[in-house]
Amino acid sequence: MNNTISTSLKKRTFADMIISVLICAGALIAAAWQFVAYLSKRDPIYLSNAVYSLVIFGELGLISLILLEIRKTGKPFSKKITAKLRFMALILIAGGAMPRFSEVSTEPLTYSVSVYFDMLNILVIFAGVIIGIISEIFVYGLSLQEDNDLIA
Amino acid sequence: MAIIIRLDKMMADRKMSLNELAERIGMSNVNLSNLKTSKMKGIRFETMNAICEALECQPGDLFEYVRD
Repeated sequence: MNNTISTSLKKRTFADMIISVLICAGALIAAAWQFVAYLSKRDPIYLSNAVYSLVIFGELGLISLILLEIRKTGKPFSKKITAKLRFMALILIAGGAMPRFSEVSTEPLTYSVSVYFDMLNILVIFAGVIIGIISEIFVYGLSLQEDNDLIA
Repeated sequence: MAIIIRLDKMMADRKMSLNELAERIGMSNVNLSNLKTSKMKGIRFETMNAICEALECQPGDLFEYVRD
């Protein structure tokens, strides 16, 4: 790949990587906080929030790793990045498929757990499918990059 | 491959080292070495133009077709 393109790509990804690492750390703190809230209040909604925060943590963690890889190599297409994108898609689909729990009191001293599965879950699953498709585009990009690297 | 690159011959005729040529044409030593040893799949007109300018030769002087 052209050295100038690689250098500018490395520079561009730096700020993105810092931002994603910071938000990733925030998501982890939020997940821990929600889990502690669940342990103290025993309301399942906190557990759902903790799991969703962990999904965000996983996604942003993988994005940070992808940006780190790009900064190291200066190339956006590699087998490692494709694998990470596929894993991101899987996490999003799994996170979206998980319904939202909340505890509701039906009668005095009687509680039941209600389960929600709404359009937001379908949207998250759809986002996962789109990332899965993008990962396949990266497979094609990798073969083009390898071809381009062999042209002087 | 049937096309042979005669870069080493041209460089030897001009008494030019690989490092010197790489520096003149703005290419990395590794890439130029790969080109010299026919490890590359192709060459851009831009690169060929720079090599011809540095070695003061024609594109035809750099390549030779040999039937397999």
